[in-house]
Amino acid sequence: MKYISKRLGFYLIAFIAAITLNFFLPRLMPGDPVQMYLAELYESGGRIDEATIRAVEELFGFNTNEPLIVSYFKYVKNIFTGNWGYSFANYPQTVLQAMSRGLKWTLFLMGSGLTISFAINTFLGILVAWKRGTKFDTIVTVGGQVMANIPAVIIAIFLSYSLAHTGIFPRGYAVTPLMVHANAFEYVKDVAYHAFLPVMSIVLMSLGGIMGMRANMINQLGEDYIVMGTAKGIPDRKIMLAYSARNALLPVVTTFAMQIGFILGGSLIIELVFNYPGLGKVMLGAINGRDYPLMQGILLMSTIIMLSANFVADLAVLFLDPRIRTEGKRG
Amino acid sequence: MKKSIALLLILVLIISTFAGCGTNDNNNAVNENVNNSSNVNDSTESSDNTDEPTEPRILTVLLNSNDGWVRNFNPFANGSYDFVNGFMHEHLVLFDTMNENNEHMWLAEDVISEPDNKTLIVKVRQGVKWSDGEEFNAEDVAFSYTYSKDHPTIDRTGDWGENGKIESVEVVDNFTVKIVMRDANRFHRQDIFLQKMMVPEHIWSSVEDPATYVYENPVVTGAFSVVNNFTPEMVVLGRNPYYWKADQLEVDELRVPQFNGNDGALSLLQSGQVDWAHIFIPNAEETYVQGDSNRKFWYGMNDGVRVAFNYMTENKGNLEAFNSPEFKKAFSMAVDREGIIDSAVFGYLDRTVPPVTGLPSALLGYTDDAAQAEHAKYTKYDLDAAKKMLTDAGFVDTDGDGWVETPSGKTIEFDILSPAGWSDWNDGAAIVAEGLREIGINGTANAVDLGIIIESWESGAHDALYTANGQSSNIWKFYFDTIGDASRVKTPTWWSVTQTNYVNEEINELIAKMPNASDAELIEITSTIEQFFTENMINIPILYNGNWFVYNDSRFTNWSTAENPYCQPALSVHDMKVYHLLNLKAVK
Repeated sequence: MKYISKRLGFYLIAFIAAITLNFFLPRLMPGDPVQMYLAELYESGGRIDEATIRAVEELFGFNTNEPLIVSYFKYVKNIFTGNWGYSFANYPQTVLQAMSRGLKWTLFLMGSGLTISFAINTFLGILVAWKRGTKFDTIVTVGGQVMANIPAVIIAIFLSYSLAHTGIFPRGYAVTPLMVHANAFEYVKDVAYHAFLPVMSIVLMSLGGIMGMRANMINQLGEDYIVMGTAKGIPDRKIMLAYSARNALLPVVTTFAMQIGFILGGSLIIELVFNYPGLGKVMLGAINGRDYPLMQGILLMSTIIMLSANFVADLAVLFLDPRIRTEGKRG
Repeated sequence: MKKSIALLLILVLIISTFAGCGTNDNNNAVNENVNNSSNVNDSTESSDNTDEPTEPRILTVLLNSNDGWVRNFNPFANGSYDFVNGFMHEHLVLFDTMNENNEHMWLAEDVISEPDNKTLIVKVRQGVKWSDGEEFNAEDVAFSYTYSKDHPTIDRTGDWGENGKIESVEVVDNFTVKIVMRDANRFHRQDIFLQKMMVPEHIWSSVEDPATYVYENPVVTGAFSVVNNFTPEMVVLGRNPYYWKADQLEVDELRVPQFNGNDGALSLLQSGQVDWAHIFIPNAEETYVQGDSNRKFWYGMNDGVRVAFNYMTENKGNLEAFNSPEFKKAFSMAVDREGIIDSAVFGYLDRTVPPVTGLPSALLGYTDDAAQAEHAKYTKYDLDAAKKMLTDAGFVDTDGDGWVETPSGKTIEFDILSPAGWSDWNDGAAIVAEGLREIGINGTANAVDLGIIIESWESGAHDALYTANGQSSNIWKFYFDTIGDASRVKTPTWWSVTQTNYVNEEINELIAKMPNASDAELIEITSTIEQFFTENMINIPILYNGNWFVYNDSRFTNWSTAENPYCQPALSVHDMKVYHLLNLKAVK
């Protein structure tokens, strides 16, 4: 129990730090929502008089005279009462409504990406650890290492230019725009076609996970019970999968949670490259419009996703590893 | 343990499929609805006309880049959609910015300007109905003007308030409205009808806060009033059953798909299903036309683009240079305008160089011959002449750093700012800077976040901008906004206008005389201003922005084109787009 409360305390502090940054960072950017709105109006050929500016200022209710600290405490209070406010640019939608569509697609990308990369990384990790020292091991290990160190944006741009701009895969959207899908299957096929490159980027950038699995696996393979098992004549396959891999997976669960954060960050950028209608696109729109409430909402949502994922991982480890549980009791 | 890992994986899978499914359901619903509504549309079609029911004729347009449509047709809302303006809510008079601001009477049958230059009598068109069947009359017109009196948040054109333009609006009879302006001004009629949408009194009079009101079921006089379908991905609008120009309208359904940014728009255009868009497409032959003879674009001429100096810069050396006409003339001659047109905008824009005042194409009739002759001398790319002019005026490199100094020996060093991401401007500014460096002027192009540019206006911390001149409905307003309003200097409230912090009392006095000048006096004043600006090179004119008109004539023909420019073709916010719409002919 003490372990859990300690973790919770830590998350609370992290949460407060995050919402504080979420509030101040957007406001440190030059320009304000009124100006950005006018810029958009101007760019689309509208006429801007002094009167327009005054009316827009009044419309946004944007009060530059209120001390920042007062706004900050109002904002904190609103977060805890569940009132995230209205999006400036998507009025009358609330912040939650404005980001829900993007969030769905981002979760879809992340979910698919995580599942696929987890399966690939685990499987390859087991395999190369088992065949360590072979050419196959060298290629996969070095390859994984290289991919893990290339920033997501480079991978995405490379895929975009080589596969999307050549017309093999679509250059944007989650489904073909203006297309009427004959049935659900057609729709799923269309979604998969559009998600292929973004998901592939996520999988590629997560290939570093092979290293973790490989290292755990090699540790396990050196353990006495493996030697014992081999001596007793247990088949290799069983030793590899049921004995060592099973135990090697344990630490991976923790890194899995950390991966969620890593992938969330990456997927926001990947979405922009592939013009995918996820949270990253919504975020960019919010930044360009200096839509403070929406920006805060998205950052807050990311914070919540990150912290919950970590918390779930903490609980999972607690559940999976009896040693931590006893530690808690002793202390 | 195995179980828990499996559980975790399943959880992730469920979340992801859930997310996918949610949108899946939505989308199927969209498609069904679209089909249903088309059927409904068919039947109304056939009941209206005696013709056989046919496939609905669909016009697909790209308007308003966004992350998803929100069902709100409120024309007063922040970020109100451009299709609401014109296609739904209409105007009294339309002004063709392409053809010298020609007037087209729309919901007004006639507008009479009284000789006092203050009073306008609006004859309201008879026989027009709102889409709910109510009659459109003088009450609605008066209401559309007086509504913003009690609601300052929607008074975007400055009609009321402290310095408001309008004195009173009065219903004379059922179809006549008298509008009295506060000051006499010969340009009132161009000013007061532009972008002023008519709204039904019987709906809006009971709305408390028009700016935040959520208007889901629009009542309009315009071509489209029926909402066949509304999803974040697409807006589908059907014909107004009472449309007063129904016999001219060959479009049965207006579709506005959602897109975000230029890339998104381009993918939609590439699908071949978009008929009309407002976008600059780099390398359009390869990325958009792709050999399809129906995919066309014509950019034409819009407002001027220029390099604007900050005449209140705190940098003494730069200020001395900016105040020297010779320096600026040399600057102008170092600008490779042809190069900018060929590379920054792929040769798609007109090669006319705007006057130094930056008169938009609709006001080009006000250019002055003497000014244009002078202008021609200094807008030709000639590095040698530019260099000579600099040297003759005393701008030479005295400290040997490779860059020229001012005659009094001060350093000249400045950035030409443009908003990052506006690629044609970023490239244009870079080419300008290249030319400057050739003749020894230390100027650098710098693409920065738009927010930084806006902040620099207020602080006056910048030196030069690559920017536009802006559009205007009439010559007086153009001069007033871009030159004559000294109160806008060093404030953040001069979007699209001054941007130079240039104040000249004599010129301002001339501009103040324009509203009550006779025709002859007006020409005298405009000539004086044009000549003064050209002689002193207040701005460096570069080129004319385009109208970004992109169209596909496979489904509809008779577009306004370079060969037959019968109206301003741009989609965007221009009032004329409804006139253009009604001229489109469906391909049989």
